[in-house]
Amino acid sequence: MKPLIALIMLWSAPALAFVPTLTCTESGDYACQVNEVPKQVKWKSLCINWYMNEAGTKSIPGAADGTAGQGLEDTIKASFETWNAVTCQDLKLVYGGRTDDDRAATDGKANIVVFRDDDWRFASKTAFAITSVTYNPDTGLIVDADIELNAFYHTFTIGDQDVNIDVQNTITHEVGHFVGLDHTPVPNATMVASAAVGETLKRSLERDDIEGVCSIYPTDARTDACSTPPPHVKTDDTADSGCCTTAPGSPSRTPIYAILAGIGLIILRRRARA
Amino acid sequence: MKLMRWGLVLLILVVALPALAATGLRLSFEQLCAGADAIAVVETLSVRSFERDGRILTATTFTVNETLKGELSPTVEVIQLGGRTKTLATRVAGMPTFVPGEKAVVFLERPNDATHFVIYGMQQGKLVIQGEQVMPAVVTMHLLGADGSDVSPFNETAMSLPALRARVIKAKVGEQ
Repeated sequence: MKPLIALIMLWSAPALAFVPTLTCTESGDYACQVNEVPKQVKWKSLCINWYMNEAGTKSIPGAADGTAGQGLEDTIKASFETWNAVTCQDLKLVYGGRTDDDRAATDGKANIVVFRDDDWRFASKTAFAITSVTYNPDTGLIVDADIELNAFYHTFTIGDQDVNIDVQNTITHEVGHFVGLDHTPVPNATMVASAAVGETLKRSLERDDIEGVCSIYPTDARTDACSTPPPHVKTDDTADSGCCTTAPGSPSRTPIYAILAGIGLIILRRRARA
Repeated sequence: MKLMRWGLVLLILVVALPALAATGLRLSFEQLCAGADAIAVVETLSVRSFERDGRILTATTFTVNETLKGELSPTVEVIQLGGRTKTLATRVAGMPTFVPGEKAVVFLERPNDATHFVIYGMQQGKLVIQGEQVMPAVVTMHLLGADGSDVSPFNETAMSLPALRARVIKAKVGEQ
């Protein structure tokens, strides 16, 4: 019963506050089943890799070879870095580079940011972007998250001139979903559901957003750094290499010294038996 | 004790789910009416999540009780991203969800060359029917419209179905 009360305290105390993504809801597709208690949807690892689809979008001038320009790449990276810069949380979102993978599959092999220039069919055209967060419904642990930007119906821009649908404004909001936050009722927070054309307010985080992410990944004075993610290519992915690109750079939950100690123990036991 | 536990769970759910809406433009009632390809009073027949091309989608089938705009067959299917299978769940913030037997007014959008519909305006495009009242599936938020102004939300309070019909007709006339 105590954990239940703690949950109530956690989520019900502030009248207007951030909304965590929960494993199940009151009704609808995610309705809690009998005896199912909602859990926080979150990443298990504290180092999460993400990749950008190399194609970018037609509305933002790209490189000579037809791929996304450096300005777009830097803008998307800045959106993720805004969340990394929050000091009261331990999650690190690590950029793994460009990829030819344009799928937003739930397979847990790569977390992708991709512009949809040619099609948009499973969500309303009024959406600027969506983030598909896939998780284990029993544990709440995220296995994959992909951000898709609706360039089929909307024109995206970067920078401060002639702003239309601002990439940084949009992706900074979507990264909030990526880490496990839902829409907040707090006015002016980055996790507020809607945005206006030309809006750039969501490029930065507000107190409500910061409190939200810090409640999910509270700082634990972690000192181990995230390793550099391996490149992700679509062909490797389909070969099912068994790799774990969602979090390959994560500081292992089983520290290396523990593994070495285990091996040492096995050797000692074998020697003792001999 | 068991009853108390369920009461507390219910409390969590009620408090933790106050505000979900589209990750996009806030739409006024008139904008919803103008933008939707069809508007209907429906009852949810079935909800089925499935995997396609490595993604989880949910197909919701409705019985159309009354068509307020557009032309619809007696049943329509909405297919949207997200849902829950036995082993995985995909959440897309702002996506409206339905339960079998639920009555609602839905604003439908047919994506380019698709045979299915999606809900126009995401959660804004679903109004739940409770008794004689029609009300939004989301709680009110004062949000910015396309021109940056605070869009006067029609969903401050519930309205009756006849009142909603009248507003749809008025909006349709305004379109012409």
